[in-house]
Amino acid sequence: MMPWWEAASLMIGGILALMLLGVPVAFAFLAMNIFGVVLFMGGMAGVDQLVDNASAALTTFTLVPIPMFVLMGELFFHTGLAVRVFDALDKCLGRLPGRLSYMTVGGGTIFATLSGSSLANTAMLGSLMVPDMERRGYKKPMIMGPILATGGLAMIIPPSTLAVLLGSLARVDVGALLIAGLVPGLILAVLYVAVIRIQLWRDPSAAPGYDTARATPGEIARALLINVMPMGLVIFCVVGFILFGWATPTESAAIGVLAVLVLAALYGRLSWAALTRSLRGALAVTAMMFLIILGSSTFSQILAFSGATSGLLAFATGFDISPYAMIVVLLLVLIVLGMFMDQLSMMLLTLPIFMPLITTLGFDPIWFGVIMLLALELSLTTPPFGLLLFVMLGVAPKGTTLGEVARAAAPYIACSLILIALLTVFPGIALFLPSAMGPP
Amino acid sequence: MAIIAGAAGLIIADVIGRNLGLFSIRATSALVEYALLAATMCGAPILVRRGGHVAVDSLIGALPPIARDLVRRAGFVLAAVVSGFLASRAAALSLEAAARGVTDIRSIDVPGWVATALLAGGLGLCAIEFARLTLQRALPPTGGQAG
Repeated sequence: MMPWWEAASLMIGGILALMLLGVPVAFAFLAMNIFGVVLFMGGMAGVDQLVDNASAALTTFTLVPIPMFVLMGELFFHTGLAVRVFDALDKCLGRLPGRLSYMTVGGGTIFATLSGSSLANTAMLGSLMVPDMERRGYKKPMIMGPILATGGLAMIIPPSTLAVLLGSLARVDVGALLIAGLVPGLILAVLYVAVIRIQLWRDPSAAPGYDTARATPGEIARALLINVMPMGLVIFCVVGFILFGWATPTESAAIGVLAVLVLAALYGRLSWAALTRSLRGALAVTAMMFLIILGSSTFSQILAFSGATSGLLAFATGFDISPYAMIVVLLLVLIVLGMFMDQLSMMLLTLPIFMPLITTLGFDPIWFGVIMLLALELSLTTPPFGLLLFVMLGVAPKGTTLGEVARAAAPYIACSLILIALLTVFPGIALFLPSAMGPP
Repeated sequence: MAIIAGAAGLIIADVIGRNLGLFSIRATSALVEYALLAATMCGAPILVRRGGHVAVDSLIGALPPIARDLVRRAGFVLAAVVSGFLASRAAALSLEAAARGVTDIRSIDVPGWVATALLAGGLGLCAIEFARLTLQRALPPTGGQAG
C-alpha cells in the first residue's frame, strides 16, 4: 500500500498539473480518475466502476435546481424583466448622490434573489449600468466596485446554483444550505451600501449628483407595485414553497421557472425567441457544470480508497491549533486557489478533504457551506485571476486596467471578510432560518 | 433544449397535481434524473466544438503562442483518448447490461443499458470533437467558466 502522502501528492498534484496545462477541467478529472482506479482499485474493474459512478452521479434528482436556476436567470435577462426592476428603482432614488451605485446594489440584490448565476448577474449589471455611470462622470471605483461586489451576491442569496452544487457534492441538505445564505447575503448587501456611503463621504466628487426628473410619490408607488412587487412571486415560489412544505427544494426551482414564465407572459414579454435563447443558455451552462461533476464523481472516492483523505485528515488535525485557526487555514487555501482557478474546480478539489475535516472539528456543515460560498465569492474578485475581474474588465470603461478593477473591488472584499468574522462569532445569522425549517 | 423544458414541465405538473390532490406522476423523478444525464451528453460535444468547457488558462496564457498552441493540442489529444476510452467501456457495459436484462429500479424501472448508452454516445462524440480540434488549423478561444 502506498503511503497516504504519496497517494495524495499523485492525485492532487496530477489534477493540478493537468488543469494548469489547460486540459478542460472535466477531462482532467476523468484522466486522473482512470489513473487512480487503475493504480488503487485494480485495473479494468475499477474503470467499469468509474463508468457506473459517472452515470449515477448525474442521474440524481438533487441536481435539478442547477438547470432550473440558470434558466430562471436567462429568462429574466432575455424577457427584459430585469430591466423593469432597474427602471423602477431608478424612480425611487431621486437626486441622491451616488444613486447609480446604490441602484446597482439594490437592483443587483433583487436580481440575485431571482437568478442563480453570479456571472450573468455581473455581466447584466455591467452592461446595464456602466454606460450611464460613465456618462454621469462617476469615478472608476464607484462604477466597478458595486458591480463586482453585487454580481457575486447571486452565489450566496438563494437561488444559488453554486449552493446546490456545494450541497450535492458535500452531501449536506441543499434546501437548508440555500435558505442559510439568505440573511448573510442581505447583510452583505447592506455592508456594500455602507461602503458606497463611506466612499462618497470621503470623496463626494466620486459620484456626482445630477438633475433628473423627480418622480412623484404616486409614480414611485406605481413603479414599485408594477415592476418590483410581482417579482416577489418568484421568490415566494422558490423559498416559500420550501418553507411551507409544498415542494422539495429541488422541485421549487422548477416552480420558480413557472413563476418567471407567468410574469413574463403577464408583462407581454414572453416570446418564442426569448424562450429558445434562455433554454439554449441554460443547456450550455448545465452541460458544462454537469460534465465536471461527472468527471469528479470518482475523484473523492479514489482519494478515500487510497488512504489520502484519512492521512490528510490525521495530518491536519495533528497540529496543536484551535479549530478556528484551522478554519482560517482552510479559507486561505480557498483564497490562494481562487487566484488561479474557477470556483467549481476549487470546490471539487477541496470538498473531499474539507468536509470530513469540518465534521471532525465539530463545526456545522451548513454553517461551513455558507462560509465556503463567501470564500468562493471573495475568490472571484481576488487578483490576479479572479474571474469576475475579467468579466468586469470586459464591460468596464475603455482603458481600464486589471489593477484598477482589483483596487475597486478591495473595499468589498473587506465586507466579505467582515461577514465571515460575524458568522464565526454569531453562527446563528446563517443557521436560524434552516433550524426554523426543521429537520430535512 | 427540449430535454430541460420537458424536465421543468414534468416537475411543475407533478407538484401542482400533488398539492391540489388531483394526481401524482410516479415517473417524474426517474425521467428527470435521466433527462439530466441526457442533457449533459447532448450538450457536452457541442461545448467541446465551441471551446466552451471550463479550462484554467492562467499558466498557458503566459506561454509564447507556439508553445501555447502545442500544449493545448496535447491537452486535446489527452481528452480525446480519455473520452474515447471511457466511451468504449460504457458501450461494452451497455451491451452487457442489455444482454443480461439488467433493470435500474427507480420510481419506474428503467432498462439498465440506457445510462451507459447515453454516456457512450456523449463521450464518443466528445472524443471525435477533441480529435477534430487537435487537427484543426486555428484553435477556438479557451472557454467558459462556472458561475
